[in-house]
Amino acid sequence: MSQEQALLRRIQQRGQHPKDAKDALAELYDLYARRVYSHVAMMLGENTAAQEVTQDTFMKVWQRPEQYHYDTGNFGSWLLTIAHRTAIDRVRHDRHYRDAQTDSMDEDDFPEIPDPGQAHDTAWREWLVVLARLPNEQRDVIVLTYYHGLSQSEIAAQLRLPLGTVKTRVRLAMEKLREWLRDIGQS
Amino acid sequence: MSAMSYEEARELLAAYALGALSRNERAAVEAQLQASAELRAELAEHLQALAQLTMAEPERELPSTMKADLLARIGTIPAPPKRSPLAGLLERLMRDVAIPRFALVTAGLVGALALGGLGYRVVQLSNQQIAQQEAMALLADASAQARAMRGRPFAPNATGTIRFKPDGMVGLLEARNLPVLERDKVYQLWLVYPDNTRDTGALFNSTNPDGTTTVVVVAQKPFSTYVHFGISVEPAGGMPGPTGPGALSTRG
Repeated sequence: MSQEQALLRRIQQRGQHPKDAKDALAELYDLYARRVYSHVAMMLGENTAAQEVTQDTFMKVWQRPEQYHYDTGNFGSWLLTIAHRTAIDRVRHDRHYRDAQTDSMDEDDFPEIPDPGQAHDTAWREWLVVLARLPNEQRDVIVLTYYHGLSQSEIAAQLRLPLGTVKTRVRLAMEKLREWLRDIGQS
Repeated sequence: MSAMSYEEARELLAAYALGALSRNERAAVEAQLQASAELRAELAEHLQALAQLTMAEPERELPSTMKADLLARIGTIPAPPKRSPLAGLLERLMRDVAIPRFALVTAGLVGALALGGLGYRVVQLSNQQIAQQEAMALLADASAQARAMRGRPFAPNATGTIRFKPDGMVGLLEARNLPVLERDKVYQLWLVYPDNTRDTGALFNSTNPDGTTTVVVVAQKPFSTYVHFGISVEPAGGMPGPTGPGALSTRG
């Protein structure tokens, strides 16, 4: 049994052993909170919303620790998936209440990919290089979906593209990322 | 949304991993994922790629108060209740009402209880105890709504009633003649939105010897948001969407 599975099992016993379950959640927080918050802050900025979404992520683990057995992949991937989806829900919720300035997106709405040369972290620089290799239209949909929480339908509406075009770009972009990831792993 | 084919779900897997699907699309893909180990394996590859991207992101310092705030949301361990006539009544209510395993409340609260001529005594209650109080109060609340539930193929002779206040988020389910389930199964109560997506309102597998079941229902949204309620049989721990036979439903 992994350390995470042991901690989840203690959390599942929160009805019978509430203090021990709470201690187990605190240990999980110490292991993963920084990574979760860092990703959420990439999407929402370093603000109250990012803190709330990070807490919401761990609250979901507290409320349904048994869900980890359902999902595939390791615990870190599972937790980051929960964090990502929670952040997307928040992005979409907050966007719903923002005043629309225009009906269409302009150049300022397209997030810029940082210059890989300015990234100090090796792993992050490698990923920025990978993202920069994607065709512009594919890179944009990845960033718009993954970091800005837009659905495929929303991207299609904003960019005035057929939905099928957006779906194809998403699928092709992910295929390339997976392929390059395998190459990085092998090198 | 109509059922999605395997190929359609496969086309949308990348978007699902990115979080780029609507709620309906997500539910339809999840239904296919539950049925296909191949799809789950392919999804795992997508998630692995995204996890590596995420893991490579620069780390940031954590806000200093976030951990304490999180642990405070979980709440403190409830203090042992002081003995009083009202405490005895609460104990009988809590013993007789099933505690749902799926709890949504997030912070500890303090409830003030009137003890008639003795005035007010403040008793620290857990979230589940407060939900149970609210649920039982629905039985005597003339403004509470009640929706009848009819037996479905798994339990054709079962009947049920779900009570709630439209602006409330705690309800009470009373059912009769639900079959006793094996230990690896649960009844899962679904709260259904107009677009046919669902929240889980309760998980339970206990029934009383006389065939009755009473369950506190905790919703994610006010009950006025939901248009139907249904119960299906699912694996222990519940599922993201209904996969098993229906037992009770408010649909005609």
